[in-house]
Amino acid sequence: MTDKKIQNNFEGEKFKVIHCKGAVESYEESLRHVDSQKRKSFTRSMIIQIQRLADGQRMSKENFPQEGVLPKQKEQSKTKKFNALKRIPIRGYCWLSDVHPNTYFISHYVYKDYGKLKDKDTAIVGKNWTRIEVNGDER
Amino acid sequence: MSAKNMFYKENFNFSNSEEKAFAREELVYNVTEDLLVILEDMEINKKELARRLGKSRSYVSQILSGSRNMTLGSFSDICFALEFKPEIKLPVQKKPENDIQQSIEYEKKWVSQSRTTVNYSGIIRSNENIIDRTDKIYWAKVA
Repeated sequence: MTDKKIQNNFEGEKFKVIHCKGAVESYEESLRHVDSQKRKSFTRSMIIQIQRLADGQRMSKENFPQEGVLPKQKEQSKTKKFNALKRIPIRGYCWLSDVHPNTYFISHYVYKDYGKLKDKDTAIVGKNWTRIEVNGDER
Repeated sequence: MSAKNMFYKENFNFSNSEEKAFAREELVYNVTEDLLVILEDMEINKKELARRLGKSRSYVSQILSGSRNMTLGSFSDICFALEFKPEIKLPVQKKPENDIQQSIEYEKKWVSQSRTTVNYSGIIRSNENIIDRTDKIYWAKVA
């Protein structure tokens, strides 16, 4: 399905969506838990969601919920949250960048067969967020 | 470029059936997602929508998740329950203006040529031809 030539970003009508380093690999890993007959359908579904997000169409809270809190910076008064592209049981955690205009970064994907967001996933998003938003990495 | 390239290499060849599946799932996802956004805006939950439709909550959940096929009929029922009229746009081409003018002129001409009146004396009249059914000489010629 995937190889080295896939693009790490997509520019829609309104937003650019970027896969952080390792995001595609995490997608492949989470897809391994899905019934092999349904894998293509899951990937199609994720692509269609990213397309809609990138085109700036409104996303429902049901399929694009706010899942967790991003790291707080010193001068920041309010905490910012990250969202999840949701296609049960897969989640793609992402945030809207403050540094790169009109850009969403997809941190990583998980196979989520549990209810509550894991601290581990919040930590991975936080680490990617810091790397890009604070330290200036491209993706 | 499409978002497909975030998961597939750029020159990946999708089969016709895969493209068809993409098109189908894109339509289903975007319609159900729009309905979910409308429900959230109207602060109507699935339970309430199920009540309005006279259906079970699981039916509504399945329809809105795309796991159950939504017919045009059930789509219309949902829109009716939410009190709005949906718009479905299909690429039906408009007749070009000059075509319309030509067809109007053609119809005018045709109507003027073929306008036929029947009078009670048995004579059929048109603008160009008059056939007198009572004209025995005419009928003799035809015979």
